[in-house]
Amino acid sequence: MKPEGRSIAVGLGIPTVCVILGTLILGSSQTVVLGFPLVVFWMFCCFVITAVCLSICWMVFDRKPLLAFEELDEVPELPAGAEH
Amino acid sequence: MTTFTFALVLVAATGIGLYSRIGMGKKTEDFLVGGRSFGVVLTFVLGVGETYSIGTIIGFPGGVYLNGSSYAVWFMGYILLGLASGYFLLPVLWRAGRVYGAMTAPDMLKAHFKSRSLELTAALVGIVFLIPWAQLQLTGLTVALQGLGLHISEFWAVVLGVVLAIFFTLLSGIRAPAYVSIIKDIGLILAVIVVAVAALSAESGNTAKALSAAANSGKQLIGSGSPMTFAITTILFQAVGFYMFPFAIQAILSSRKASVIKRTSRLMPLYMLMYPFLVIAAFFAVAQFPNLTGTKSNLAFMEVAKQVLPDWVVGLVAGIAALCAIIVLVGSSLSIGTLISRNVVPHIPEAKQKNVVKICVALYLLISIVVTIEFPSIMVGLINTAYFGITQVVVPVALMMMRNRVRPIIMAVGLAVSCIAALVLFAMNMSFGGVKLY
Repeated sequence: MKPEGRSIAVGLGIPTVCVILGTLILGSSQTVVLGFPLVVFWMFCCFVITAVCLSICWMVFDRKPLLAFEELDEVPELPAGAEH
Repeated sequence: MTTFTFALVLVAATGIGLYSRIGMGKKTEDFLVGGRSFGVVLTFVLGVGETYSIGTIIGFPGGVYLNGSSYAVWFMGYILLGLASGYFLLPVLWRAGRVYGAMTAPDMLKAHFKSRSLELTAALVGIVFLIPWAQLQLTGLTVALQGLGLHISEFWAVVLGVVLAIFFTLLSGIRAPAYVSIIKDIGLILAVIVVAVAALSAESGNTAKALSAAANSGKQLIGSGSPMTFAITTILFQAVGFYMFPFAIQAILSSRKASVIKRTSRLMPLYMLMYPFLVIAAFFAVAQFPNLTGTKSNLAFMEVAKQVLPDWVVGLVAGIAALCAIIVLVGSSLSIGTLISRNVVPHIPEAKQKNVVKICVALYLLISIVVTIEFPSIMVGLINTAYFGITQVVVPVALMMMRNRVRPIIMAVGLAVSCIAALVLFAMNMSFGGVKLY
């Protein structure tokens, strides 16, 4: 049930790096692409990049184990640390 | 004609709201989390519906108009990373909700940590910081109604919005916003595209040149100083708190399966492809209406709509914008009611729970009306105010998912102190290590 490291790296790591580094690097650029400042245009690209990354996570890492887990799962398990 | 098409949108929404009652159960759980039975489509629609409020269609262009690219990047960046984090976080929250029979985050914290003080603190934080969120919706609603050209006072505009929100809430609880969101989401995208395309093809002056001038203006550069610090720190802070809003958690708990949530979440970023059109509208406003200052900047999008569209289309656009506000008000109202009945004043019998929810919702909306009229604000500023507190809840929620030895009372005190500290820093306009709260 818990997401695995590789999945987090692809689905959250890559988009975060794209957004933060992209803003830091392109924020002061005066280039205009299709009428938008470059940094704003880059953010639009990040929408697609993020959807692709998350789709990769789903298809490569998460789909099979999660569906298998849901098929077997009758009684909900307690999340980690629930005994505290 | 403008008023007629505006009313038409709301009548259509009411029809769908009535339709949502079909097949509805009678338990409180049906009313608040849809009996936890929503599939991919409704989970997506409800998730999107709660995410893209009037802050998107009215507030975002106003913020970009006033502050340029740093606001555009912040707004899009935090939502995008928030959505990405949701793919991983939401199934875990959904699971905890199932295990503990929870309807709210404080429910989960109470069951997990066996702590009444933590439950109560988290619930109060949720309630208090949903007030600026309602203020955001009501401020936007006023702008939408002003866009109709009706000479209606701000007071009556917010009262009208609240009456509609109460009406939709009473229709069928969480089912009404989920179903009405279908018309609202399609309408939102269409409205944004229509306004932007009309602006691009407008004959008034040399539009392409004007837009290009707006894109090239100094505001569109994010320098290395304060604007960059604001953009980066706020993106990260709000992305972390994105799904801590009580209505977001409630929407997730409505889902049928964890796999439904994951399948839904991975597509959510594509819905953001409407933002280029909103940026175009904001740049058009910069070029055509350069004198909107302060809270007047909230009018940027509707001013563009009025300039480039025929009256009847302006009515539709304003109707969709109003619907965005109403849907989110309904979601917020249900969350407030749930938090009060389950976490602030618990032990109320199931039969009485529904009535308590309805009374609390009315009170919450009343306070929101007063705040909206007494403290007019720039809409994007209200988004930040809501996040000051809501994001703090992520700490106990994260600790819930880890094996930890932090005592619940420490978490509760930390939660309260951090919220107060954020408000004090904001009110006193203080800088903290170079980072300032806006």
